[in-house]
Amino acid sequence: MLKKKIYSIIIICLYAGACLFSLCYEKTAKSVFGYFINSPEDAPEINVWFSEISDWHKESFPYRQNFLDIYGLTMRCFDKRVIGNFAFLQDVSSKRIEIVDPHYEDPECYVNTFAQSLDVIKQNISGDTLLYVAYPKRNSIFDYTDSSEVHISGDASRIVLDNLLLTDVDCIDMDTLFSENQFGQTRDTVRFKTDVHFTTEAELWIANTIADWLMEEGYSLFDYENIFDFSNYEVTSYDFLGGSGRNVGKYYVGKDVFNIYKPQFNTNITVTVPNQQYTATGTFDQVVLNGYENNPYDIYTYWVTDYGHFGSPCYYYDNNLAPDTAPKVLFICDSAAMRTFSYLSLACKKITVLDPRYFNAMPYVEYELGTETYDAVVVLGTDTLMYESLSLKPIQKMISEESYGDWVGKFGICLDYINDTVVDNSGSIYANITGENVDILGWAANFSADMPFSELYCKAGGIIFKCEYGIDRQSVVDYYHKEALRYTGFHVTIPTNVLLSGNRTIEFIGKTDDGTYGPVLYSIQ
Amino acid sequence: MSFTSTFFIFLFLPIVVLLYWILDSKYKNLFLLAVSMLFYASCNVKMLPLLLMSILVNYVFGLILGKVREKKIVTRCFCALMLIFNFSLLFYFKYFIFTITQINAIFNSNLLIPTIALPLGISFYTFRTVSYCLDVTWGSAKSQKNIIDFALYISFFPHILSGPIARNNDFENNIKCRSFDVTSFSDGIKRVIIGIFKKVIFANSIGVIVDKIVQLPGENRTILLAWIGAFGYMLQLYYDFCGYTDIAIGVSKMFGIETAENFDYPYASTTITEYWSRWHITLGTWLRDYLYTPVFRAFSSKENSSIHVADIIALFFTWLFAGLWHGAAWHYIVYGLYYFVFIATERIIEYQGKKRRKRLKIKKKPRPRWQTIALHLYCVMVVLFATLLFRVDTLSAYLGYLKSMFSGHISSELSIFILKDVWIMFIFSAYLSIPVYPFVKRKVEGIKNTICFNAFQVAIIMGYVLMFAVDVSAMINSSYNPFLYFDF
Repeated sequence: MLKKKIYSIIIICLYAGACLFSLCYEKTAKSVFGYFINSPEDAPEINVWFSEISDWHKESFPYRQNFLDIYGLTMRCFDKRVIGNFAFLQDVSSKRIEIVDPHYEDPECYVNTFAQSLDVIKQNISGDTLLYVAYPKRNSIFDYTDSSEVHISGDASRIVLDNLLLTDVDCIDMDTLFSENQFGQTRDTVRFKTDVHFTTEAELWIANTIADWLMEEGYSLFDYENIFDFSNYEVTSYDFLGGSGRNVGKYYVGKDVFNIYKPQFNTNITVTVPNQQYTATGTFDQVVLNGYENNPYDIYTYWVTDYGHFGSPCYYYDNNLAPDTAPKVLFICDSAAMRTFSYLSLACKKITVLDPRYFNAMPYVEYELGTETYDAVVVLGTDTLMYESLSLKPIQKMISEESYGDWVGKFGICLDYINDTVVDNSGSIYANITGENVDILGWAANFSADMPFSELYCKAGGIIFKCEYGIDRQSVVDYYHKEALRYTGFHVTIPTNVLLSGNRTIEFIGKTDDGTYGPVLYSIQ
Repeated sequence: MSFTSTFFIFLFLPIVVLLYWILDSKYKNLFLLAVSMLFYASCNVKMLPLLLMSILVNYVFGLILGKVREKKIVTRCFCALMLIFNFSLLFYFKYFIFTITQINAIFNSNLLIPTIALPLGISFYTFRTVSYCLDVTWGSAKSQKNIIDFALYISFFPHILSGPIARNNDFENNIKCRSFDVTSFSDGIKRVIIGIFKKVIFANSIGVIVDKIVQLPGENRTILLAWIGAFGYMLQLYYDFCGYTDIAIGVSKMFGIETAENFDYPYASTTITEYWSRWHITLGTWLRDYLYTPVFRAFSSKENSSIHVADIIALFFTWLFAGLWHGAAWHYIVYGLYYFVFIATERIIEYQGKKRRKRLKIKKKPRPRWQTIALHLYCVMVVLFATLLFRVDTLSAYLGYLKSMFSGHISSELSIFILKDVWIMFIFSAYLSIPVYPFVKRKVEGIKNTICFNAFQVAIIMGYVLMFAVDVSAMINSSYNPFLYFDF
């Protein structure tokens, strides 16, 4: 009995010790008690509050990463291939973690519109220098390539490539090049085991391939021989555990090695991130590899191209050593090309990078092509999210002459923003209608009486939506010099599924005491 | 707040336990009640007033029923009122939408279908209130005069969401004479560790695969996948519910409150009758005591009635009710009646066997091993097909799933991949679903050699430490994954 009590006391002490330690652990204590102290004045409901604090506690738990290592080891002991909610799959044969594409949709909905977007790009660049680069296919964990049961991240780029090969867009299939072992790299060695991104070596070869294409297009690259001779780089290696590996730790499929290639020749680059008002000029080491100078290095560090600025719409890389004859290239890509454009910037005059996953891409693309003369546009295709963002549908304004009979007078209308994107009313208006809603802001007025309407309606897909109308518009007053036109702003939100099914016309109808004005029609192609 | 969150295990529970044992005994129940209310609010604050109302009304009913017990007609009236009140609440929140939907379907009407949120734990705490009131009515329990104690019985936080369905007598005895016992407290911790392991390692891991298989379109679901999904769900449901129960029992022990066991290795059963004496035991005993027995007595007391017919009738109503209790949908009713058919058949076979042995004057022979194995397989298969009814949304989905178990492609690349993913976990979890641990525990406790005994105890402690480390690792890694039986 006494022995049993002693062993029981040991168990109790161990539990109490664990609780005390987790309570006193600096990071946990700071974040959990900090949450108590910094809770917003309008506190959420108690169940939401508990849920949030529970998440905070979990995220700041002591030795969190060590516990994740234990978790990965446990899963390894059970030979588990599926981790999380079918998000990660272990490919045992090649010992890597695949990401299941959570955004996968039937590509039919965006393949054609993506191609239309590329047409728009082509119309805005000189020459025919548009290149689509299809990324190496993820290793399929199944033997056949057309798995309809599980979509490995990257499957979509193959479908888009097959579609584009039928057009006159230049395409490079990196999958073929790596499969053929043209660079001494195979599909197995070009990717990290624990991350969706590609190894530095793979991206260097992709950069080299794009450089070769630019040369074939007649552009003279700066210091090509030096830059693409990889013996001119000092290689430094670090242990690395990527995004996929973070959930399962070091022991599930092991660690990766992240190689950094530091140029041993002169470099001078200016990196600009406009929306963060960040500019830095220096050597490649200083401005491109220096993202972690203020943070301690750890096993999760992504090197090259200051991954800390991930999520910005665009970045500019100006090569201060390259002559003006070196090409200016617009890259439309995601983080899979971080090292590609970084190293390619050494051979170009300027590289502008647009990451289309976090905003409506096409207006930014058109803006860049309108404000800068680019020699080439390179689109690197990976995930479905990219294609969705680039698949914007143009809206054209058309006024039905037959409706003149219903008009009482003149209807002035202007669309200013669609889903936070500035609208150019002089030509085709683009709208991203792949999200849940389409948000439209603008102004509309009765120009017969130089007065606002009493009500404004928007009809779409057969459904009438009442616009929020009467928003203060100083800009309209200033333009027309009429104070009476001040409260003519409107806002309306239309569910996307209304626009995607059936009739794709948006009609604006204004009402006053003496009648109905409109409709002014916009048609989505 | 989830039992399998680091916040609950490392912050909420230790603080509450510590304060509880520091407090004077006259404040312990009030403190636990406050904590229970806070816990319930953390899950579903909008339904807290409903719980409070249910407690208050049933407290009053209990007092009245205790006072009028001698007057049969008055007792019956109040008892009926109590039942109407409690089951009306349950009907409104759980069955009203289903009823309206069926009326619309049958009569082609257009009655408005309201949006009604299901209060967490309503099925469980309603059973507690009903069992309390009926016990008071029948004289097997005294009416609870202390509203704090009564409220605590109804809302005790380890039990409120998914049971076990404790009886007021047992609970009251526990809270009257509890004291801090080191062994019991330590057993509670161990039970919690085991419960979390069952939930986060077995149930959650298997659940991911089952979800994927069930979501597949029928034509993509091969026979192999369908069977993997079916067995997987059997294991997932067991470890999910059993894990929760272990945590509930363990946490209760830490407060010095003993709780009845709810599972006794049900998959080791050889008959469906035995299965239901091992699965969700507190539900089974509740149905036996408050539904089956009264109905059986009512039918068997009639003139010229056969007790066997009364037995079958009582079984029918019990299992119909059991099916409905699990959910408001046709496939739950089918679930109840499915078990009724098997249990009734087993009863008849057993009765006929007894009759034959009596006539032939022979004794019952011990069962040969092959028969035990065959019966065990029979039990597993019957339970497998019944459990599937929980996983699907409709009867037609169930039939579709059954179809994929017996027709279509046998296997595919995905099937082989999934099989490789689960086979070790399936074998391990299936092995532990039979009483291996009690066998090992008995052997260890029987060791007479002190050194060996101590070595085993140290190994056991290390085992628990390791298991706890794995539990924590899984809790940190997982996103919110609620317990399956919270839906009932």
